[in-house]
Amino acid sequence: MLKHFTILLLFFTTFTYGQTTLSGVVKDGSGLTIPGANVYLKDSFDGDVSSPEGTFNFTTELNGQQTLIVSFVGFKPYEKAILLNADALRIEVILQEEINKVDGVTITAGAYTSSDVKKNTVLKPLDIVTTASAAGDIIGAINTLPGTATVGESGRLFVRGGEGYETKVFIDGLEVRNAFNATVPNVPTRGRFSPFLFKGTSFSTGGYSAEYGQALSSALVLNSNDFPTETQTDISIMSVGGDIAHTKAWDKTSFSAKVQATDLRPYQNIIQQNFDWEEAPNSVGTEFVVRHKVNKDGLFKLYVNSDQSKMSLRQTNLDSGLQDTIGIDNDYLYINANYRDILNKKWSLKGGVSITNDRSDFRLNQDVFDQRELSMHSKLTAQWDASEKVSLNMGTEWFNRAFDQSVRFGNTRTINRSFDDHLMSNFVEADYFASNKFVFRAGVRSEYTSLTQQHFLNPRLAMSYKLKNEGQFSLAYGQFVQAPQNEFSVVQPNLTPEKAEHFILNYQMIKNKRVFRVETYYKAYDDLVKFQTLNDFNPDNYNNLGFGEAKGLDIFWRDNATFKNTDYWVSYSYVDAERDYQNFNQVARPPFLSEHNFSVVVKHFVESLRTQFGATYNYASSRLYHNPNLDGFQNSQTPSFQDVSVNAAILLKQNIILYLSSSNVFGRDNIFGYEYATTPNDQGVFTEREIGQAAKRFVFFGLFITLTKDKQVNQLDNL
Amino acid sequence: MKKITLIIGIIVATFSLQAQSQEAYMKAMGKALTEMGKAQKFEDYQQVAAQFERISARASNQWHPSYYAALAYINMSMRAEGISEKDKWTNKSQEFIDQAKGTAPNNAEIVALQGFQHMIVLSADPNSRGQMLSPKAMQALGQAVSMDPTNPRANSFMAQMEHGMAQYFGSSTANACARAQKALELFNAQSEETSLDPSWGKSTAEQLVQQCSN
Repeated sequence: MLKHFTILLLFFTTFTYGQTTLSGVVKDGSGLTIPGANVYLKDSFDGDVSSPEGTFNFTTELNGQQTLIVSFVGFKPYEKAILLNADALRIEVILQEEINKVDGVTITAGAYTSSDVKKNTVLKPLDIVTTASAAGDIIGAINTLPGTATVGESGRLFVRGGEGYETKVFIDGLEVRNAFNATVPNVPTRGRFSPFLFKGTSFSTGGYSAEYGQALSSALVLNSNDFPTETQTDISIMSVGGDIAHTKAWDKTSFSAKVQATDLRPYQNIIQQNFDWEEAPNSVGTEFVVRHKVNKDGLFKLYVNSDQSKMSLRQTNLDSGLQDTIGIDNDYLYINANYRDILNKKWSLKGGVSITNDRSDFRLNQDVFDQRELSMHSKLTAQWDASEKVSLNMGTEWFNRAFDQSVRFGNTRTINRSFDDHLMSNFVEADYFASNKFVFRAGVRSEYTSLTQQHFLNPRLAMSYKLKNEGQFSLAYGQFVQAPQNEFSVVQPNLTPEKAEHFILNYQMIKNKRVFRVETYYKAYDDLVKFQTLNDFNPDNYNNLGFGEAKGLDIFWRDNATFKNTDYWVSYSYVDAERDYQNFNQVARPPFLSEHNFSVVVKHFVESLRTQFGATYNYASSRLYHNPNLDGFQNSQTPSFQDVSVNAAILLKQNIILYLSSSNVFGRDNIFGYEYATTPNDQGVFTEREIGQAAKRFVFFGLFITLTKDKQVNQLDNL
Repeated sequence: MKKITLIIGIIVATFSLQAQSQEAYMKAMGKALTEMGKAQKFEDYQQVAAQFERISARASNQWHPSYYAALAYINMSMRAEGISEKDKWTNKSQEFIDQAKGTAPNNAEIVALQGFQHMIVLSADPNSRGQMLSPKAMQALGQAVSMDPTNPRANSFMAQMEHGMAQYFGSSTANACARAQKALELFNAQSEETSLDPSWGKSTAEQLVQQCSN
């Protein structure tokens, strides 16, 4: 009974004390007051919100030992044991900043990311596909960013004084070999993959993470879409072909299939072309996508792309004066299977395999170059958030490349060659977030190639410091190696990988829908492949004695705020590069390089017309070329390149879009360079021919229809 | 005997504690809801959000406090300036929507709030978010309507979305207006009885019906 009484007494004593008044102020580490913080006693309803001056004041009927909790977005929750006994308490609360790995300071040197998720992005996926000059090609849109150079006869990505082959494309972290459509020399190509497949892209112009290798200049990382929300059918009818796609989404699994046919023949019969096509480019392709949710965070993705394409054209032989027929048949298959899962708060895993099977028959009259590459990339990475401040990314990779080449000279002679390379790689990289203002990254990548039995150890370093305003400085350094191109390794398998070293300093500011970036860099090349003449079959004429360097400045400005419904960006790149490589006989500026590249992209949405209008202006200063009729090397200059492209996307109905675009509306006759006969003619002159555009302009229209149950979706992000 | 008395004592004490805490819970909720009804400015909603957040920490088995905390944060986002500032508060609201979903799965009211939240996130940057978020919002609202066809908020938000799209594409607003009318009737049919269940949002439906009649 006594005990019982004691309990009751204890129970009632709760009310015998009076009220306690708690007051104080909430500040951050630097002594600035924090308004809006939630101040309360644990397990009670008593509390207050700090005032605009950071002060709080409340009374409670609780007493004895209690816990005071203070919480505010962006700060670690604060807890303090206090004793309440009716005496007024005054407390100064100092909140510690929480490290925000997503929206805090990020490493921006060399990196242009575009994503739906992260806020600190320069371009969003939709931006990429609505850029006028892009004509629906991811690469076309990336080419309006600084650091890239317009190389009209190629269509590939030339980054910071680097060649097209120095840029590697990755889908969900896995390599894509031959990411561009097969083509013949001086006919520009396009990227193989529809921008519609990807939710985000990350384009690096250098100094990239240890996770990526086998690229001297640039890594373009494409992240594929996650689980689709709806079952839908997409139909596209275009001036150059058409496609039909169907996506079916179940609870945990989705499946998409697409059939597409591209045929430029009808178009090129109507619009006059500068090329004399025997068979204009045409192709048939299919695509399959499977998504399966294994558990809450585990997602399996399978992507299969296959494509058969053909083209051939006639051209006067500069030596013989006769008509040459040049053509290519290409069979392409790309398979990418990957899985990612978040194991717990600290660990997440990613892994996958990609396979590329590419076969091309390149024909020059009776001679046939038959090339086949079967390559595989498998990768397993683990991300470990070791602590609030440290995260570690590590992984292991295996690349295999089997390359066969058979060259048939008419019916007389056949040469068969091949090589097989296994490349093993491991990487580890640590991010250290000293605060929300400062992040430091250090990584190392090791690579072993079986072809030359060489080992490489490449360090990568980067850091960023965020200033008081929204601006931040980034620095990056890295060493990179890349296996020689197949055509060279197959002749001389002992060629060693080429090397590059990057130094980058960057300043970036993102504020209120405006982005400003300026970046300067220095890049050194070594062990570049050299040979006597192109298509030389003597292994002894190949070596790794080439070298070079590039330095420059990139400026980017984007503004989505000043003009209503208008978004524009301006890029300028200056690059100064020289190299001695391939068939050069001295150090010189390479033919693909223009010192100044400038582009302006404007998009304006007219609500009353439900139409987005776009225009792009591209400028590239003159390029050097070698004229054998003159003294010296790389002794002549092309005129500058200029192009104005326009487009319009009209929402006819909720689910129907009409898209129109034209490149080079003013019909400027752009010349990319000249090619010459190998031997002088009777007058002792090397005959020349200009390398120019396929046609004055390329006009495109397409009708994109989406069918869903509720007709809410359209293909705007498909363009 | 002593033991029994002790046990009874403890039981009585526990019950009275529970009753007392239930009473305190209702009182705290009542106070916060009253303040929410009066809230106008960003700071008012911040006050209210903090109160609901405190209550939800204490009464973690109830979905109402997290629901209203999320609603208050959504209201803060609507009144904040700048995309990243707006996102800060909608992100916070998502935490509480998730919490509410965890406590009360398959609750049409919470799913409708999720749809509304998508609409607010979208409105922070409609040009770049419209494509991705409007199907998401429609999906959540459709789900809420199918779970409870008589939920006035789910119907009202859906009518709002449908009306906006129909206007944009110049198609007929008849369906949207019919739904708005239905939503308004459902609002009017809500019981007058005071309870913790949501009853807000009638004025939006009224405005839409007004717009439809013009």
